[in-house]
This record gives sequence, structure tokens and C-alpha cells, in this order.
Amino acid sequence: MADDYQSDSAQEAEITARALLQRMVAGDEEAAGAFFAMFETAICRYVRHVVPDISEDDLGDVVQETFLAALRNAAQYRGESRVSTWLLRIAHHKSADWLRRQRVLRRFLAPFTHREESLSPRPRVAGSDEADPSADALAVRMALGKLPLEQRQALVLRYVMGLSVEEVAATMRLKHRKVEWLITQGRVALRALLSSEE
Amino acid sequence: MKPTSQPKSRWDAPEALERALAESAQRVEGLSPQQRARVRRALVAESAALRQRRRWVPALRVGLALAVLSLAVSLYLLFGGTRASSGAVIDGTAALREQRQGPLGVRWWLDQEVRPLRGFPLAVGDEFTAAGSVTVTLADGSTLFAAPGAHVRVLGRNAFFLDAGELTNVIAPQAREAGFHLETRAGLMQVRGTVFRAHVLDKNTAREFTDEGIVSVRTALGSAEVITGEQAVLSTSQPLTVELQVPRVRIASASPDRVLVNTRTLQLQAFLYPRATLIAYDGQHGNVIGTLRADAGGVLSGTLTLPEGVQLLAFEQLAPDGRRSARSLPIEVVVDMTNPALRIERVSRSGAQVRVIGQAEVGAVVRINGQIVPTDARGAFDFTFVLQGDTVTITATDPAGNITFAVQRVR
Repeated sequence: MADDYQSDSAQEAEITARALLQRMVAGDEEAAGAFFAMFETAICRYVRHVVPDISEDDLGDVVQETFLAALRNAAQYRGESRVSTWLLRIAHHKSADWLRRQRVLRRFLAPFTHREESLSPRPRVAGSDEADPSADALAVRMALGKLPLEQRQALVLRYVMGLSVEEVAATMRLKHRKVEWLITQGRVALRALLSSEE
Repeated sequence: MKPTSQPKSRWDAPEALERALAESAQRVEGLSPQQRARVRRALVAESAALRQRRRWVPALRVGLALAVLSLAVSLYLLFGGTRASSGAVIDGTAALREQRQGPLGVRWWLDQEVRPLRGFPLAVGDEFTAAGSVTVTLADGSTLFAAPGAHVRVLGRNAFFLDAGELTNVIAPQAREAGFHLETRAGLMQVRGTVFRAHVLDKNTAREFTDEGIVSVRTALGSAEVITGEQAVLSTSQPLTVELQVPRVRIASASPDRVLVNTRTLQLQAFLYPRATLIAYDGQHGNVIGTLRADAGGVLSGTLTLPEGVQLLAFEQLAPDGRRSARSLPIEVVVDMTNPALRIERVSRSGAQVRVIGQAEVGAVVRINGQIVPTDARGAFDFTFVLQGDTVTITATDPAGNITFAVQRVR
């Protein structure tokens, strides 16, 4: 019953998202605003996990580029995937672009700057075995940032964004097997990183 | 002693990673209010820009499509289409109108400005207006000479339409079987292996002159065979008439309107009616100066003896059947047998240089040892040159060809 409800709700959300996209194509500013409101959190969630140390301003830039690209390409949306998957694919590319730019920037600015970690896990109480959910969440997000990009993206899409392996493969434009391998490898690496920090 | 086992990490617990990731997902919120407002503003601005773009993009697309279409059509009109070869090529200066043919028999013409044409292939349907002397050479070697102003359209292989002006047609003997025809508004001329001229006088009238051979002429009101020395008048409203041509007599080395010779025997050539008599008149007094007779093919070649001095000659032809042509316009013939005056005033030598001073008849060409020397308006000359040897030969040649010599030895 709950599944039915969730499924109905997801279907309604998809219908709404597609309707908003159509109105965006016609240049409806309100629809663009509503579309943004509908997917803002999801996109922020994705970007923050793929780029854990991103600043608030840079996050705003990546999200803005994602939604502007969605607006400009709304007419090209063919409905072959869910709107959210389509939008995530855009966010996926924009995040990758941002990371690429940052890499280049860092290479040039390395001699002049000292990079500080913006995220640090809250120190665990010594001797305490009890898991603190917020500390774990922060630790896992920080550890994600140390994984190779593709593994990170695959894990985030699968476990943070809740996509199926097929949807992850479609979003990343990779083969199903490759995505499975990335997820397995990512889990092993992430577990090792988190265990070593305990 | 039992070995102590390494304590397992809590991250090894089933679903620990998934739980932590899901927890992390739940803890991430959206943008800060400032960033959210910024993104919203950007989206609103982009929406407005898109709306603007959408307004003119369709019009631009239609415009672009139309531009591409017109470009394609223009290129096709300029360079596309087919041209049905007539086998003829044109040489001379003319304004050409090229015909192109597209699918479904659609035809169009490309008007070109007056320009020199060298061996340009004429296609069926092409038209040209001669701006100078124009020659059209047909595939069988026949030649058409279009006088300036003649407007000709190519109807097909060996078929032309003369809309205006004058066209001389020299049809090659080997084209006897091929045939040739020339149309005018007034009528049609068909021929095999002959020389004839056609002259369109106006929209309703044309003249045909047969200079050699036989030309079949047809109008709406009749038809006739026009033979050498005859001419036909083709009209849309009058019956076809055939009469003897005014003879066109070619005088050896003659200019069209004035002949200057240094002999009393004048060489004449003409194409007349077969066995017709050419009567030469003194154009001033109307006296008969002499007569000559054409052969069975109408070819006339003979001499006329004239007295010395200026003569006006006019010609008429008289056919064996008694028909007589109109008399030609008189032509001036000057028989000048007097050598030009030449006086050598001084010949002096200084080393290899020789100076010659003298005077010749006005208009005479003076040569010293074969070299033309300049003379002034009175015919005087003063010329210095390097002499090889010791003989100086001076000649004066008048326009009629009479020559006076003077030979001087210098030391």
C-alpha cells in the first residue's frame, strides 16, 4: 500500500516535472521557478556529495549552471528517461566540468596558496563504539571526496540519489557492468578509508 | 594459546555504508537564501531571453530557409539546367542570351552583356545580337556572317531565325545533304550548298539574295526557287517576288567605294544570273563602257579596259530571258599611270653616315635603300643613315602603285 502510494507520488511528480519542462520551453518564468524549487535539493545533494569540499558560492554556481542548461535544453528533452535522471545527468556533467576547472586552477595557483580542508569529521569520543549518525554522515561525505571521481559519482548516484544501476549507467553514459564494478570498488575503498580513520 | 582476532570495523557491518550515505543525503539541504535568490534571478532572466529568442528564431529560420532556397535556385538558374547543343560555335562581339532547360521542359534565358566570344558553343534556343562582325561556324563547316545589329536565334542544328539585320550564309558544299534553313517573320529560306544573304528590313519584310546556288524561299503567300544573281522579297502581306539582283561586282584590290589603279585593265568578278550579261556604264554620262558575260553557273570573271583618269562605273545585269536588274550605285575608279615626282636635292657623305635631302610627290611613300623615310606635308624629306657600300637607291611610290626610281653613287 505504501509502495503504491510512493509509486503514485513519484508518477505524479514526473508528470508535474514534464509539464513544467513544457512550460519552460514556452518561456514561462514561473514554471522555471517551480522546476528549480522542485529539484533544487536533489541537485544540491548530488553536487555536495560529488564535490564534498565545495564552497557555498561555488555550489550556487554549479546549481545555477545546471538549471540554466536544463532551461536552454528543455526543448531537447525527449522523455526517454525520468526528468530527474535527465537533470542529474546535466548536474553530473556540470560537476565534472567544475572539478576539471578547479584542477586546472589549483595547478596554476598551487605555488601561491595553501589549501585547507573545509570539511573535517567531528572527533569521536574516545572509547565510544556507538555510532553518531551526523558524525558518520560527515565522515562518509569526507571519505567520498577521497575516492576516484568515477567511483564517487557511481556511489553517490546509487546510494545518495537512489538511482538504479541502469539509471546510473544511463546518467554516467557507461556500461552496466562497468557501473557495477565501480560501485563494488567504491564500496571497498570507502569502507577501507572509513575504517582507517576510526 | 588462542590467537587474538583483529577487531572488525563497524563499517564492515551490513548496510552500514548505505545507512551512512542515506543519512548524509538527508542532512544536505538546498542552497542558502542568497544563492537561491541568485539562481532564481538567473533563471528568470534566461527565460525572458529564451522567450525573446523564440520570437525571432522561427522567423530567422524561415528567412534562412528562404535564403538557402533562393541561393539554390539562383545557383541552379545560373549553372544548372541542360543545353541542347546545336553544333555551332560563335566568334565575335555579341550580346548573348543563353537558353537553359530544366525539368518538365521549363526554360529560361541568361542575358549576357556584349562581350567578345571566342569559339563559344551555341545551344538550341540561344539568341545573340551582333555588336560587331560575328561569325557562326556550323558543325558541317558552313559559316554564317552576321552584320552588326543582326539578331539571330538558334532553332536547331543548321536552323536559325533572323529577327533583324543582315546575315550572309556560306553553306559548305559537303552540307548539301544536311540542308540548312533560315527563318524570318516574313518567310522561310531553305538551301543546300550555296551562298546567300538574308536581310530583314522590318517585321513584315525580308530580302533574300542568292549569290551562288539555289535557295528555296517560302512565305505564307507563295514559294519560289531563287537562283544565283536573283533576289527575293519576302513579305507577310505581299506576294513573293523574285527579280535580278543589282550586281555586286568585286574589283581586284578595290576599296568598296573608290578604286585607285595604275592600269587601264580592270579585273572584275561577280556572281550573276546564269549566262547573264554584265553591262558596265559610265556612271556620269550613262554610256556603256563594256559588257561581260557570266558562265552557266553565274560566275563572271573578266577585264574591262578604261581610259586614264577618274571614272564613275555603274553595273547592271541582263538575263538571257530579257530581265534586267536595277543599276548599281556608281563607284569611282581612278586610273593613274603617271609616275610620282621625285627630286633629289643633295646626297652627302661623312664617314659611314650618308645624308639625303629631296622632295617627292605628296602622298607618295619614299624609300631609301628599302627603308621607308618620313616626309613632311609637302613631300620633302631629309634623312641620314649608315651606308654599306656606295650606292643609294631612292624610290617614291604613289597610292596607285606607280614607282619612280633614283640611284646615286656616293664616295
